[in-house]
Amino acid sequence: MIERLLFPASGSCDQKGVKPSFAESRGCAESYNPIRKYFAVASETSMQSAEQTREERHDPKRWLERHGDVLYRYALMHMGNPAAAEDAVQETLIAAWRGHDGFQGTASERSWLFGILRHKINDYFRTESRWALLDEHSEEPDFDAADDIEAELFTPEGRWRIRPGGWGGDPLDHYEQQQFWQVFRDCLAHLPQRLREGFMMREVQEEEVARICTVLTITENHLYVLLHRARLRMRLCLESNWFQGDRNT
Amino acid sequence: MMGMPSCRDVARLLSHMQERPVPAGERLALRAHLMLCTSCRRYARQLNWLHDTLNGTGGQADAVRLSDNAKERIRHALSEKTGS
Repeated sequence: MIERLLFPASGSCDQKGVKPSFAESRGCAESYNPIRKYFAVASETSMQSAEQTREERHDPKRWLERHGDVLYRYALMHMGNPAAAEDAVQETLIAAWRGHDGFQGTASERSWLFGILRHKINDYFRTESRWALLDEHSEEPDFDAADDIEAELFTPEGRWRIRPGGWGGDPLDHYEQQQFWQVFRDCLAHLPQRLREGFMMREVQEEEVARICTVLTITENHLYVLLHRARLRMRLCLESNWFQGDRNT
Repeated sequence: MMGMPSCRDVARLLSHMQERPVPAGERLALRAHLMLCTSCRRYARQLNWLHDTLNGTGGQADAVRLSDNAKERIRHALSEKTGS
């Protein structure tokens, strides 16, 4: 279970066509009302029960139903192209079916499929001669290197230097989604590699904190810091490259 | 955290509370800050949007998932290639 504040996705402050600063000056601050929401994060391991028959475990259509959407999101965010992401999911499931004997059940079914998907995404970038996000031998500075994103965004007293802009309603309701995902992909590409891996594992794969820490060999407190930095960076990048100017007119 | 949290404190809290419980006192201070601070309120809303979009629980009609057409295509391909 994780706990978080839930904000109205597009409440009265964010109606289409209402300039945020205008809306806010009309008393949206008073009407703001965070609702606390609890929800369960589906645990991968719980999806895989010991009672499953071998046929059930070896059924690519069942994998599609259970994991297709999350595999697709992961692929889309790395590839920036819905059609390519759909293909990657399909190839992943076929490869999984062919190599299923290699699955010993030590990893969760979903982690196993993600492992195959990552290879497919790498193949895509290799054949397209495009720069892969998933390059394991990246020369990027280690994520431990001094990361001054907080110093960049906040004054020494802790105030915003660059104040978040108003984005309006849900961006995906109003824009060309394909273009958005290309921008998203580029923003993701600018994250240091392990920051990106931790962020995607947490936000897309919804892995549990303990497992991500094991994979990245870091402590929980370190992971919290990494995720915070990744969120600051992604938000800033999306705003600079996608939302700026458009939402406030 | 003593007294009123700064915007930097609030941004940290908003992130951390997605991974772990935050003490009641800090939550209270966070809410008080958000009532008064447009920038942090925006940040909070945008983080939530990012989270919901990435994990496919976005409230929008177009939550990011495989379309029915795409699923059907993939199911068809699986039948052909795997005979299942």
